[in-house]
Amino acid sequence: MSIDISLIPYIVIIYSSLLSVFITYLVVKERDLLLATVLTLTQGISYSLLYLLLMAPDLVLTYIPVSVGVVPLLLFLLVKKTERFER
Amino acid sequence: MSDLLISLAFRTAMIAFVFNTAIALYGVLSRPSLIKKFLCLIMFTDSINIFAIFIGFRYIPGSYPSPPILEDIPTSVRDIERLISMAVDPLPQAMILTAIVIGIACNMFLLSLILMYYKHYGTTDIHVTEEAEAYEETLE
Amino acid sequence: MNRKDVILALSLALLVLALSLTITFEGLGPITPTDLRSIGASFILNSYNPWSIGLTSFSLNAVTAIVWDYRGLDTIYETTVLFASIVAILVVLRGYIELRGLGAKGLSDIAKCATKIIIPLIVVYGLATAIHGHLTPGGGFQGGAIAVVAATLATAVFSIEYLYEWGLNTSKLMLLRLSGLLAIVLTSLSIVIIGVLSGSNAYILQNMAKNDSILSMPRTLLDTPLAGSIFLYNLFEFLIVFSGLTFAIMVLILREDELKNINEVAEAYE
Repeated sequence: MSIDISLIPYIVIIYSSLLSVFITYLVVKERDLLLATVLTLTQGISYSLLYLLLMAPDLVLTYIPVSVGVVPLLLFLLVKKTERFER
Repeated sequence: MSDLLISLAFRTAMIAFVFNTAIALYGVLSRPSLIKKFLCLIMFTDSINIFAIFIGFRYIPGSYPSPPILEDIPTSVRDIERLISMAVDPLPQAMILTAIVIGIACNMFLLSLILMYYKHYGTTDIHVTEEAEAYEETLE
Repeated sequence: MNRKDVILALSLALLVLALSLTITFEGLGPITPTDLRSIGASFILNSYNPWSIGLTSFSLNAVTAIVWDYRGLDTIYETTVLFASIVAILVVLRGYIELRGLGAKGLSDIAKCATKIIIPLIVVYGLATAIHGHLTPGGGFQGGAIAVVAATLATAVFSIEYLYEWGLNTSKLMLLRLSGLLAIVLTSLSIVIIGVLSGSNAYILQNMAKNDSILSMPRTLLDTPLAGSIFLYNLFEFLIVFSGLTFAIMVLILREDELKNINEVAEAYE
């Protein structure tokens, strides 16, 4: 079957929303805090793809350095200084 | 067929954000480690921000909307009218920009508080801290 | 899984079910409307419009015009909140000292050489995004956040010892931050000072000429449109965000020997 090329943005919106739900469930279930930080970073990437498809370029330029660059680095430092496994 | 796909896409996205909010809220309230609570708090605020951007979107049958930025100078009246008929609402974007920056500020402060908590109690697990404080009260 | 967790999970599942049903049957309104709200349309209409004299701001980017001109007081308060959080970090970790010579290596030579090439490029890209805030997507916060990534890369690849050798310590960053905040306050008051000195009507946070006041910030720079005070605000906001977040990173990366003075200072004040 042939897909109309103007429908591709909507298909990507469906895909990234479902991916973000799956990743959120994995973050709550994970016990190794280092892996949980990397999964939060991946969820930030799927949200920035959604910001781009919803036509908000100012927010993409603010959200990518904050959520993929600065906050995970500080969390890696904090996990190194405190405990790595919870419970 | 394409109308069905478009309405399905918007409904799926909104229900996915409601799911994200609920799962992240469960993670904040019921996991015992402070760093896990902090991670789930970040995801909670991010889900609410993207929900607000969704309100400002619009659906134009036949083409895709454009960001609210004018493209040519010098302009004519027809350029401005065409932009109004194709552009997305700029007001929620400005408000969420402010919200993201205030979120950065609060998260930085929370990180330094978690560091001082660890230096004082020696652990970041709230159940262990509660048992230690209850044990100290029985000693007095 | 004790009983509290099960009750919490069940009540959240009930909330999700109720909200999903309400959204699916359009109880909270139509999912995406087909036309703009009237206030959004009027913001886009007036943001670059040479024919409406009292309301325009000559900035092609409508979001930047809303953030710095139409709702400029919100943004100044938000800058103050960012400043308050940095002061709060300084209060919580009061009493730290900065020692040199504790011995740190950083990563290998290949990583250091590659990072030395990339760091100036990232800072220049952030500055370019901040200056073009009124013409393309961009602005002060965006450029500042991009430039902070260079600082985090430097603290991860080189260690903090090398940053001390480059002459960067927390007092200088705090000085830069305070001067940026002072510059923003002076820019918002600049037209009022000129109006008082020349005897004409003027408003605080004024950008372009209004109906009853003829003073305005410069509108073009040689041949590119310059949206007056929006350009200056973006430049100073870049400086503020860059220095503030780098200060927070440098304080949170301090080592154990430098932080052991905190408890003594707290007890001396009690």
